[in-house]
Amino acid sequence: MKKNVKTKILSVFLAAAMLLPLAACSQGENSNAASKSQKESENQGSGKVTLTYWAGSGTEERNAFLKKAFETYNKKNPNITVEYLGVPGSASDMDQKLNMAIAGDEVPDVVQGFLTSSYISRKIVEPLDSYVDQSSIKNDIQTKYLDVFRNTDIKNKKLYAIPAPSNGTMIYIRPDLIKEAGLSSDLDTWNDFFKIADKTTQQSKGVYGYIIRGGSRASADLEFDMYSYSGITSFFDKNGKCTINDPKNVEFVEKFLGRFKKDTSADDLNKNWTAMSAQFQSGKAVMLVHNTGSGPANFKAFNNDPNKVKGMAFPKSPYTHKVTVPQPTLNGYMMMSGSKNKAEAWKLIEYMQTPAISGGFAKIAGQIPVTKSAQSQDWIQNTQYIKASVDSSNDPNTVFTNYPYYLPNFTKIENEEDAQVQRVLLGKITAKQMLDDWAKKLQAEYDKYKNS
Amino acid sequence: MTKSIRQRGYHKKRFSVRRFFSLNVPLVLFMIFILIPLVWALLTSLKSYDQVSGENVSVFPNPLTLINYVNVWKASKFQVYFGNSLFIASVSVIFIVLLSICNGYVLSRYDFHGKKAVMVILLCTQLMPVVLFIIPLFVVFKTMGLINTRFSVILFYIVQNLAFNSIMMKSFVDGVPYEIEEAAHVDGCSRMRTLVHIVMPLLVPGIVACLVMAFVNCWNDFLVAFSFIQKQSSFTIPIALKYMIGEYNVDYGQLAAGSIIALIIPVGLFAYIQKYLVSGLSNGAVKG
Amino acid sequence: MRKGHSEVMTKGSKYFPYIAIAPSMILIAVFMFIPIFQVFNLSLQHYDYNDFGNIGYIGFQNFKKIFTDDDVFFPSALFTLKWVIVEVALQLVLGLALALLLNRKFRCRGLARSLSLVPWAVSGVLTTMLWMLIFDQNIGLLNLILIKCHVPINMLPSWLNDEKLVFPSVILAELWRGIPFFAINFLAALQGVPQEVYESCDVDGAKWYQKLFLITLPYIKESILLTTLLRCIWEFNSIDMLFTMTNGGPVNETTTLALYMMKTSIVNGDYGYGSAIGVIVFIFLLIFAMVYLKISHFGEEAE
Repeated sequence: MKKNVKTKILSVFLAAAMLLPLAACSQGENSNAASKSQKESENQGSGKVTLTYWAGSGTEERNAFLKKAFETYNKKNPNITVEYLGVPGSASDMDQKLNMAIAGDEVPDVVQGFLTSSYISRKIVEPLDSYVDQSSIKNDIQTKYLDVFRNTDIKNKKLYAIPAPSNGTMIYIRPDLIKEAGLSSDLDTWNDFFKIADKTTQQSKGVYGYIIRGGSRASADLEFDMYSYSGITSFFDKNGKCTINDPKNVEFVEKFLGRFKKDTSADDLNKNWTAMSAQFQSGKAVMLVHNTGSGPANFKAFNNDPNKVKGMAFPKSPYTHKVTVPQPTLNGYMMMSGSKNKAEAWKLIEYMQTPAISGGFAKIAGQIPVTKSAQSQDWIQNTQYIKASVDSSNDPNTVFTNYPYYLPNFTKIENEEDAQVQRVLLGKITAKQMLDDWAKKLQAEYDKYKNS
Repeated sequence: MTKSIRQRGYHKKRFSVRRFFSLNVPLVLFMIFILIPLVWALLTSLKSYDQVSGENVSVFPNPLTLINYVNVWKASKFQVYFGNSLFIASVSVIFIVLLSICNGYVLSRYDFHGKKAVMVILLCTQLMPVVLFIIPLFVVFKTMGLINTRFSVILFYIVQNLAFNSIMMKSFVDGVPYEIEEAAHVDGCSRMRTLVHIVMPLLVPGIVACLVMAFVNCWNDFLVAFSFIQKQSSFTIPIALKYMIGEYNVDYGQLAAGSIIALIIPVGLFAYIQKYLVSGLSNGAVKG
Repeated sequence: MRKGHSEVMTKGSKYFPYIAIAPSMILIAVFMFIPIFQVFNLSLQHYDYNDFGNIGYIGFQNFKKIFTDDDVFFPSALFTLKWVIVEVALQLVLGLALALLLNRKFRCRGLARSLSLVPWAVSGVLTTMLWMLIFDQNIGLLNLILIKCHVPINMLPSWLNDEKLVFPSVILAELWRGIPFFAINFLAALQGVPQEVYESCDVDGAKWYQKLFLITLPYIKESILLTTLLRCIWEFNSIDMLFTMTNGGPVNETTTLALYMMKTSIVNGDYGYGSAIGVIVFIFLLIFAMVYLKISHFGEEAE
């Protein structure tokens, strides 16, 4: 008798426990099915459309701005609702979330993030040429920006993303410390960079000339700087030979990494971005090579005092006497090929490019808008480092170095080279050995692609 | 020995050197070790930005400011994330504890075919980092139509925490002498009554430990919540904290403030239930 | 500490254990085994997001490459073992010590116990950033204190970048987080030790270490074994502390297998290869767990 009661009660409980996932299942299915069919009926019936918009590197500030932007859009287009999702974390986190969405067939309509050759080869982004041709955007964005994006699809040169505000490279300097050392803070060529570094380093006070990024993305930073020094504008010369171990590049790396522990702190060995910014913002470095994205924080740390902090675009190459900067980063607005509302998604992208939105977003993110209409906004002229960056990139004498992002394993090789940079810093290999090895890997990748 | 009884009697009146070095000193050392980072977080949360990483970096905030807390709660609408975390963690924990008691009891008291296999299966759930199988998991949830609901997160938390808590409950149930249950049977108690009135009270310390462990795991998980939720309004606290780590700038002050606010719940919960971490086997229950 | 079976239990409730276990088993099968099986499946494929055109089954080639052509795998395996052994040993001993302390009666015991939970209860997102903020060369707490003690600036240690200091530093950070785990579980287990046994020992004049090793530890033996095993497994697979603080460097010296797995799959997009590493880790940990349980006679009757 007692056993039966016990068994009954326990069975009821266990059955309930087993039913939980089923209940959640059906509820989920109902809500999912409901929302899906609702979405579809909305789309077909009353013409109401819900678009999903994901933006990477989310912060609450950007979230607030974009949410308001979409509310305004909804007022102008009452039949379109934009569901916004700010994805926190790095580009890698956004990538992971996108991969999951694609695997699970739950893709957003528009993504504001980094375009990669992998997305193109996996056909998850939609080519936008036909949309752009009929839009006013094509007159508002400089061709060289569009070309950079087209080059990611080296086979067909199709445009898979519309350039979004991007980070311009920048060197932040301490004019006051440079003046103290009796030098001018107007750097002409990279040789001035090294002169300043040598003279302003005060090891006893813990103040160093510049900072070597030895940690994550060490190799990428080195690439930006070395090609700017050598003035070479392509990773592969006209014969298809890799230029990364060109003697001018080797010379730069020897100079730059060679000053480790002399003009730079010993803990640069594994330094990541957070430590770099901490060092500069706490006054322990004279020059910081980075991009406009850290501008707001760097200036805030010195209370926007122009005597204490200044931003400048890269100095000229001592060889070509031209300012050579890496091509703009591939921040863009992408339309996912799995989107079910492509026409509306395109209209949304156009809206994001309007000066009010792209300029406003660029302002809070420390980025440069790419449209001519936005670049003429007041705040750009009034923010020192942004103006410096915009002026430099619009200068006809400034050239871009073209990055072979169309090579699928380019970024993977960069990641592997991080440890090599550290070996050079530790004296285990020479700069030339590292660059020769790097050239070999890139060459192999390039040849593989050329023959495919 | 009479000496030891005398010493015990003195405990309340006199300072015992032995007790000082065997209890107070190590305890204080531990507390210092535990608290220093926490105090550093607290100080950071009360500083303005330039005192954390600007030119005026210093150990103590000068002046003290509550602006980080204000920003976190208002501007970030922390209460939404707080509510989500609370809901998800609470529901998950209820099921985790109930299922773990079931499993633990059965694994302890019964010998059945496949018992070793069950233990191995439970262990297997812990052997692979979640980040490696999160994409296939997403597809499973998608097939069941559960994506973008908080239930997907709850279900996975339950599964993830079952192994540890079931095995721990097993060892706690092992610690309850079976003679007690037998004695209750002899006295005429039904199985269910024995379970509820006799075994469970003795299991309370174990339940407390499991509850706390499971709650904290669910409260602090980032990866699963980040991956399975697509709607901003359903995000949880760890994701909100991640927002403060920007692309090129970490707002340490806000991060610290948000984390301290987030700390209140698990620590408060434990502060309340730790009083149940007392021995239930004194009182001669065994001799009965 | 005996589990026994009486006639009351086995009669008529032969299926009871199966019914009780069933919900958990079903949940695990659906939400763990299916995805884990997929990982095994992926390990036999060339599945690289950067080489999507060449996706396909390649048999055991990934495994072959790991054992013959990978200069990160074995060093990181070795480091992982070092990491796990040092961490778990320290956490075990210190956690046990703390549990024993928190089990005694003193004023503010509730407060001490609640505070002991804090390192475990703090969000992982903060913990990594917090310890970065403590170890940072320029704005970190440790160096700020050293500056106040008039240590010259150019002698300030670089906790996370100096090859000799980086290992102790990350060990310390993870140790801080791991002690409460052991402490609270042991504290709960200690409640199962009958007080009379101690009292009768006191009467016999037993010393504290005799009480500890001959009474306390045997009583909580299962708890110790289990907590240690599970903590070993979790430490083996833990990523965030090392990833944020050292990124596995310098020169891959603080890369664990789990971190290597993550970088290969998530950062580099090579899920096939990363899954193969995951499979190897899975099998290794499984063998380790089973051997561990066998050796420790887990589940067998105590004398």
